[in-house]
Amino acid sequence: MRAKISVRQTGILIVLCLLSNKLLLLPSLMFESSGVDSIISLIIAFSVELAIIPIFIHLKTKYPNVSFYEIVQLHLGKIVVKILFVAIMLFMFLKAILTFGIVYAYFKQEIYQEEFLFLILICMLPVLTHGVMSGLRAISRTMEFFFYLLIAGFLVCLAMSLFTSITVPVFFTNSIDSIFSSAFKYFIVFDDFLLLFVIMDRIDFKKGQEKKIYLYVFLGIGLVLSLFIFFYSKYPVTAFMHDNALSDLLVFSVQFSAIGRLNIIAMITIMLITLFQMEIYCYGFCQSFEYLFPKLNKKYAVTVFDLFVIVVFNLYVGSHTDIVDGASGWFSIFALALGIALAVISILLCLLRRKDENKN
Amino acid sequence: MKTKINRIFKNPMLIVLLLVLILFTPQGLYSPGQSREIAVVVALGFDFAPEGYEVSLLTFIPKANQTFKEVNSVVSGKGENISQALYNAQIALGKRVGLSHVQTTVLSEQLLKENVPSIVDYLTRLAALSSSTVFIGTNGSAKELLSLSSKLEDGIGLDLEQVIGFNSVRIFSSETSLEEFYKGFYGRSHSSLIGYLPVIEGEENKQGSIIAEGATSGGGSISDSGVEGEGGNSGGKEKSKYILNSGQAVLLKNGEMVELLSLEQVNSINLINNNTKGQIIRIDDAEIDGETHNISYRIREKSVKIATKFENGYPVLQANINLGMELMEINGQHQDLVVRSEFSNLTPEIISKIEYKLRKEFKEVVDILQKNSADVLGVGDLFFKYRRKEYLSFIKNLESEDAFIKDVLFQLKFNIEPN
Amino acid sequence: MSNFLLQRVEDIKQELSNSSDMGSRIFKKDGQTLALLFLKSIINQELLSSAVYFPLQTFEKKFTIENINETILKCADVQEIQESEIINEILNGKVIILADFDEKVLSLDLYQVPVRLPSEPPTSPVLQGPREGFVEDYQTNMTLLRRRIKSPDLVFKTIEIGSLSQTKVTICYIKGIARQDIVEKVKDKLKRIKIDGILDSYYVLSFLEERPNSLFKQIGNSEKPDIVSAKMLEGKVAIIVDNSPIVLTVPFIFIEDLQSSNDYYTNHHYSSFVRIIRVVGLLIAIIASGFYISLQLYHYNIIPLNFLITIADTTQGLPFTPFLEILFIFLLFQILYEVSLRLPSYLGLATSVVGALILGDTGVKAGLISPPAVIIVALSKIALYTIPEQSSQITVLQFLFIIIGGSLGLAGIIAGMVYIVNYLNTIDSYGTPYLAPYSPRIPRDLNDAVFASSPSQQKYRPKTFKTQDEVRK
Repeated sequence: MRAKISVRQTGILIVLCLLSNKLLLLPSLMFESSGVDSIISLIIAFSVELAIIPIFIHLKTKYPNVSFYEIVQLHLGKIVVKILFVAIMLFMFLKAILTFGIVYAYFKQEIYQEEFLFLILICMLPVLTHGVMSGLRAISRTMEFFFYLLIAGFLVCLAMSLFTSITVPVFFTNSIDSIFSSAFKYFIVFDDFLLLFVIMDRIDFKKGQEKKIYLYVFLGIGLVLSLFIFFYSKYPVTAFMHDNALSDLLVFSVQFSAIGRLNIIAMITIMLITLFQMEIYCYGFCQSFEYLFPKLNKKYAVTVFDLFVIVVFNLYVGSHTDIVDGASGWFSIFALALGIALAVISILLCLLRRKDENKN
Repeated sequence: MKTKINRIFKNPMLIVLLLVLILFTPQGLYSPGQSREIAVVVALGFDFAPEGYEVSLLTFIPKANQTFKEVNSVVSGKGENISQALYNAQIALGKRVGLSHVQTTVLSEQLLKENVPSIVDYLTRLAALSSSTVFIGTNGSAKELLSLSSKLEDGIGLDLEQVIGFNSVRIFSSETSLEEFYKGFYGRSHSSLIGYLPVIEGEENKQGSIIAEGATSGGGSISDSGVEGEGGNSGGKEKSKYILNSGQAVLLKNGEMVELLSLEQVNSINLINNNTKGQIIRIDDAEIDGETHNISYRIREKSVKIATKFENGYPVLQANINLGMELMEINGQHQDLVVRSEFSNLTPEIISKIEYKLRKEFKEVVDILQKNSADVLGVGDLFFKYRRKEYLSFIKNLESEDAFIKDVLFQLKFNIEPN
Repeated sequence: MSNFLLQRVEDIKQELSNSSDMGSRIFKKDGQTLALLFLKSIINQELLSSAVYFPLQTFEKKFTIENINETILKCADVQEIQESEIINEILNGKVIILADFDEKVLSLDLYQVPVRLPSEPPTSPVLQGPREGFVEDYQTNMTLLRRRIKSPDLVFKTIEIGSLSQTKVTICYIKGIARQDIVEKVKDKLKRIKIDGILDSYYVLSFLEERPNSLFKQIGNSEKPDIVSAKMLEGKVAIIVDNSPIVLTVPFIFIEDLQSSNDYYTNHHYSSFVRIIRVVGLLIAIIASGFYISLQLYHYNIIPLNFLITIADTTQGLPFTPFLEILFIFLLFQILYEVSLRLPSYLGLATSVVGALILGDTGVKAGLISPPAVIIVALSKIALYTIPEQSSQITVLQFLFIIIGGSLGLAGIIAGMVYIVNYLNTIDSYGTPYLAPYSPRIPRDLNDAVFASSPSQQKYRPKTFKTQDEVRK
């Protein structure tokens, strides 16, 4: 039996998934559609995706040591499970590309200011590869190690924005339509809990530990919401001009005498979070790949992932337009559909399990 | 040897390290460093030019064992648009230009009267330039201001950023930056207030000295020894030029300059702002015990409570202003040096004089704002926040939302006490 | 009979290559012959005279092996051994007694070699607390441990390793606390060592490591008995190697090197503060130089303007590029360090002063190197010694991060750090996660990790090591 990760480590994975793709471009994108009311859109989107957590917990309690792949295969057949996991694999890849694309644009603007695609790939891909090859336990331990540092960096970025002028956001300035459409327009950025299904059998979860999971879920949601609130308080009118939300909170903060502004904190926090997020998606991709092609081991999976990333990125060199177009287009529809499909399948499995238990 | 090679290929990270060493390390080894390759620009200036625009860069090109003051220079380039002009300036400089450390952006008054957003559009797209860059206007040429400011450090230990920083905190009560400009431009009333530092010509024999302007305005100047204007250095009497910090501000409406506000007008705008204190109010001919005195007070404490309402269908902004006044100076007929404690208590006459003065100045500036529909007070935002329904129905009858301030009635209630 | 005995003696001498320190003595009495064989260089000759010769000479009755063993000899350790063990026993400082009237062979332990007195080890000085250190004699080391843990559960198991050196390696643990699987694993690994000579505990260490090719140490070591005793009380297994003052301990976690014995003999708030300084020192040591280069080469926009002016000012006109400059200064410091290690102390000090002050200062004045670079490298080299036990590893990491910073910039440094932590998380030292108690987080052990607690607050043994008995009572 493969090594399991603790509930705390799972929680940290959840927080990092929740933070993914939402720290940089999303606040300004959503602002363009629904202004400050994007915060409400965010709450709506989170509420929709939150619905999958109790279903997951219920399923996990029913099948403590079995993988999701095996459960689906057992009850719904090989074809359904293969289609599902191809979709999950594609989803993980899209999320990884989205994350990388957004951060690449940030790298270009703020950190390197030169076209250095290959350099950034060389920085990221070996770490991802090593992480995946080391296994989920090593990845989750590494994230656990850096977790407080990430949260501290994140909170410093938020806190620094308090030192200059902020205005309390005024809500309901946009129509309900725009609020709702904004919630689902970029749904690819949400759907954060899919990874849990991929690693279901690797979580050492006991009954009564649901509270811990929810704690981390709400922590992640709280962090994202507070970022949006602080961001819109700082840039109530010009939010659409600031593509790097977490970093721009620090950019317009106080200067510390000769040290200047502490942009470096935002840079390090964003780089760390991105690396971990990419590791998570790479792991999800590779795990799904292993389920689909059991004869090929992790090495092949991660090689395929790396090659796909290199190819896709050389074709679409991380411009915001490409990312935004993709994200607001079929990516989001696909993400929504996959989320719904997963929820429906999970509920079905729970009901089937209950039926089996009743029979017994 | 063979086992060593085999070991390398068994361990992928060693391959990565080799790749890094082969591909990237040589480049890093022979790279002289960005600090040597790039000319660091600390201030940008924009002017009109016959070709279109002129962009001036205050750059620092380091030389060994020389201070910033000794190695900075102003380089300019001209072009049909800003990006072309900047490109030409770079060519003139002969070095790659780095805009990450730009602290100040200066627009000449001529440009301020044009459509500012279209001029600074390039800057907003330039990722390297932060929107927290200080953004100011000047009367003459921005290039001249930059040239003068580069010499400031040696003069009285101030630099441009410090001066503007002082203004931002003490006078404007907000940053005068590109971000603030856009905040106003894209806001409800499309108006913004930005700082203004004019360059004036001083007297010939006053080179190197710090001069204050005449008694009426109370502005202070900062400069150093004279810097030539555009006329050149040869022959004739040299007229020194100075940067005059008089707390002025430019009022922009729809991205164009509509008014130049004096220090008093700026102070009046900030009358209903809790964060600004420290203004000096002088009362002339105050009678106490049959003697006439000119007394100066400082606003030591201020607390403003604002309420919004609609009366008879018209918006009314009520401001309850509590001021704690500190006695600063007495000029007049008294000869003794004993501290006259009665002056610490504010007589009704003095209070009414202070009120009158503040109201009058406030009204003057509100007239300007209303005339230009430039709501830099944020009145529209306040009404939208607290009286949304009435506000929205009121503006339906207006030609545009900007014009809202024209119909706002300001009711000021003062409570002035000694501090 | 006695001829046969004498022949045996000659054969044994022959087997020991007729070494010049070979000693022998023949006793003849009433037709009985005894032969004593020993190596003069490794026995206590005085004791031999008083405890063996004299009693034998003055014994009036007939000799038997039993009365020699039980009555005549006045030394503590007398054993009967097999014929095949004779050579080994002689080489281990035993005196062999052969008799022509009995086939049995007696072995007397009169082993004595020059041994250093326990003194304060140079690598672990303390302001307060015990100053004893281990020595090269394994028995003295055992004594030092026994003195501190007077429990019947303190177990010493000695084996010999090395076909030629026959080095005594002793496994020490506290029964009922240390995990039996770790003890067995250690024993098993030691028994499988096939080597000609063990000269230092490092030789044993290299066999005990689960990842011998890893840069990071996986076995703890200490020169102080109080530290080793404390570790044994936490459930660890200690390994004493004869001829080495360094005792090994397993399992090992990274945080151990951040702690020093001084931390437990002073106020724990101060100890917490000092440990935080060590962590900061560790970070500075690893990444400062690489970070500085990356800022200069790729991220000038992050450098505050005043610093940028200073750096640009001081680096004008230098013949080296920033990367080469740092590498050069790094190399210079490393050479100075090596020189100061090898020279006698009175010369080493002068060399360090000459190297550091004069070379550094002259280099700056000559325009070869810049002051900021000297400061950064010097700072990172000094910070290295906040954790002297890891200095070799950190030096390699410093160099790696200089390469990474100069080649890939800030992203490379961050990626490098994540990679290292990830790698460390794959290391399990005898079943114990390497970065415990931080990853995985073990809340109970956090009160004595970076933040120290007083001994009165440490009611439980660390959960990290999964000891058999968790409560310290």
